Amino acid sequence: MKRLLTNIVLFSAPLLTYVLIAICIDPYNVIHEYSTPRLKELKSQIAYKLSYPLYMLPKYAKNPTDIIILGDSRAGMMNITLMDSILKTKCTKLSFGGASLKEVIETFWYASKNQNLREVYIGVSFMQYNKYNQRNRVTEAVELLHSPLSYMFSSFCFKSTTLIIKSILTNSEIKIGVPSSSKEEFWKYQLENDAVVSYYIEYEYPEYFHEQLVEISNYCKAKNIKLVFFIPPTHTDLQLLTKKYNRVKENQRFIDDLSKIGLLYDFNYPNLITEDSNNFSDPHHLHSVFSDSLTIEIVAGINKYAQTD
Amino acid sequence: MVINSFNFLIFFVVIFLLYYFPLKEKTKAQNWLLVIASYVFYGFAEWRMIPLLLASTAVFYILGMAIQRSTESKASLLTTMGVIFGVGLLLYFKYFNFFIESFSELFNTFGLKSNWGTFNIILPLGISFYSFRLISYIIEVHRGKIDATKEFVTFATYVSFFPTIMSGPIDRPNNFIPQLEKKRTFNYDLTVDGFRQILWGLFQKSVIADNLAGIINGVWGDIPNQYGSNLFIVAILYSIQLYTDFSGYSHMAIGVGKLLGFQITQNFSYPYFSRNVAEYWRKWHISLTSWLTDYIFMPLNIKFRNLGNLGLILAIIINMVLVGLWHGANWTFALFGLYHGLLFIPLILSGSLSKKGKLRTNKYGLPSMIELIKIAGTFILVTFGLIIFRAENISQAFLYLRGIFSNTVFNVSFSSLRKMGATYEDGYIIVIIIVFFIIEWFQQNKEHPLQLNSSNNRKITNWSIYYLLILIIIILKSGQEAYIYVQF
Repeated sequence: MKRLLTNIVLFSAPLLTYVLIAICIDPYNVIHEYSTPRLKELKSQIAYKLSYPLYMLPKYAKNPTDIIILGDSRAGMMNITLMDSILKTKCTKLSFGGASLKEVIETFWYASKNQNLREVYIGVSFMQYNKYNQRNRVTEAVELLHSPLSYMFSSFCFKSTTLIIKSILTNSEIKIGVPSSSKEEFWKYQLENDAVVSYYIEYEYPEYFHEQLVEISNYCKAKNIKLVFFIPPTHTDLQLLTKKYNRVKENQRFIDDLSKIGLLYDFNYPNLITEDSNNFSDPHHLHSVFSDSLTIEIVAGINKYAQTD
Repeated sequence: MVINSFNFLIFFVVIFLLYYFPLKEKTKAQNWLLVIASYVFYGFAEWRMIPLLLASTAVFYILGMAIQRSTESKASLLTTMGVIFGVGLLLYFKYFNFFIESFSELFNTFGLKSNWGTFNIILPLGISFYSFRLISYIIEVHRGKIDATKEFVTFATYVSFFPTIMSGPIDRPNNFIPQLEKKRTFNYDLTVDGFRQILWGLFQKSVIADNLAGIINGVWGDIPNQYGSNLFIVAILYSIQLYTDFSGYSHMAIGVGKLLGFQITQNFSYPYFSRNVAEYWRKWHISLTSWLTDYIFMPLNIKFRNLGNLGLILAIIINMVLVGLWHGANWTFALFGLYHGLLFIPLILSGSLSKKGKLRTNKYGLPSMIELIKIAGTFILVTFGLIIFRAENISQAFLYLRGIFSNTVFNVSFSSLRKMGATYEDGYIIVIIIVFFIIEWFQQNKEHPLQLNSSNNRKITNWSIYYLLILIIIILKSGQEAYIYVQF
């Protein structure tokens, strides 16, 4: 037995060392909130990009607000500081890159368990409104938040911790999710090869998502929560995919569904802004200079560009 | 509390420390600890069924004692009663609604209107596993192979032993009860081997089985819209998922048993390297197939021996249908069993059923071309059987099979797999699966592939392998999926 215990201690030494480092760094602030400014910066550069929900949900749980924004990175272009000043209260962005509707719905229920919500802004796009878009990183993130041991031995914590250490030791910047190609190449890639295109090629009406959105809407009505949907603007090259893949009817049904469920602002139609590629970093993402006007329209209800029901 | 969770780890560390320190070499106290731990473990999963487990254990304990003390005729009667009771438990909890529904459908088919309601019966977890342990106990006592145990705690531990109660292996009383009765001293080599086996099982389950679950469930939920090629690929992936999931659990259960000083029956012996279906069933879910061979097939074979090959075929088909139905109350399982039973016929007629020739390999240890063809052929036959096994009903199984044999079987479309959740990262899993089978191939003479040479000069190599596996598990493990065999 002595031999076994000695071997267990020796074998566990590197694992325990890792656990100690992971506890100290705690890339997702699940165990504690202490961070030096440098560490904070590294966490937002590395940990955030490796798992958006794991990074954002504990933050929200510790400092919940009654106004939230949900959706993918396009919904994330809302200017939160401007929102705070318009609504005269603190708001939280719970939108994250590549979020599916399933993740948006899960995040809504997570937030509603943590806080009595007052206003909810949900950015949705047609590619999310597809039965086949079933990506879900939120459930796993919520599970990890409930088990510190599982969290420490999760791939997110492990990868983030090792990359943060690497960055500190080598004093180098770790780039995650930054396209290595030029804007033109990346633009072309997004329209032809990216995973997004597969959601136009393979489409089925998402009964389940529709039901869930209706449930959210009913919940909001019952709790007197303002629910606003918006379809973020994308470049017309991307909008044309609905025609190219014969999804015009489906896209219209998506817009109709949303307008029946809640207040809808639709920015995704051909206009001076969406026709100009200089306004976009890629076919999905409008430059941040347009954030303010988008935020004012949606939050203050001053209609300029959006098509409303 | 599943066996591959941190909750189980904490639970087990407490048991392990109590077992080997305050209760060291105190056999009775250790058994008490094991039975309490087993009931706590079972209670976490299904506390409402604890009374049933306890009551059925008590009934078979009393029956065992009574059989031992009785005359032959009375012992036979008691054994028969016990078997009926054990099978009755299974029939009631697992098959009652199935029979009602099936008879109702049959009557409707003949135009006799019937609308028999079904009952809200909860399936007790692990009942298929522990009821078989109970039945084999009284049969073995009656056969005089073992003495009825006088210690209720010993018997209750055998029935409810926590590593194996949910998904087996189905240990026989002849193997397990004597181990419970003798003094258990700490065995370093056995413990180290247990740790290795747990690590291997965890790797199989977390890295391979769980990562395959998403795409397999996606495709099975959308069969009509799939290319035949995708259906075929996913059928193969399901064979791999089922194997790595179930044998992963078995490895972990056996490994945990070893840490407590027990040698539990091996449940898998590299079944996908089998060269025919008979060999496959000698290597797949060994504890179940050997149980049914001993208690169903052998008596049937003796009964039908006057019929020659026809008798043998009948015995095998009945046995295989029962193997299928053991998994659950569904015609798909019966058909799965029948399919495998029929696959035995060419082996019986060609006289190659009981041939156990050694695998022929070349100088690199790889299989010869003829052996490779046989292995691949058997794997494909098994894979087609597992389509029936995985289907929710027979029409879904045929829908899937029709899809495979459609003219889209030669169309390859990554986008259609992608819509089911496949990612480029899944490529890593494919590489890992290939490496996994290569390791299995070269370690197939061992109980498990991580049974390494433990000499001191191998320590650095061995530890590097363990760390590598742990690293792969951390990086590639998927969200925790339920064990497939827990539902049976």
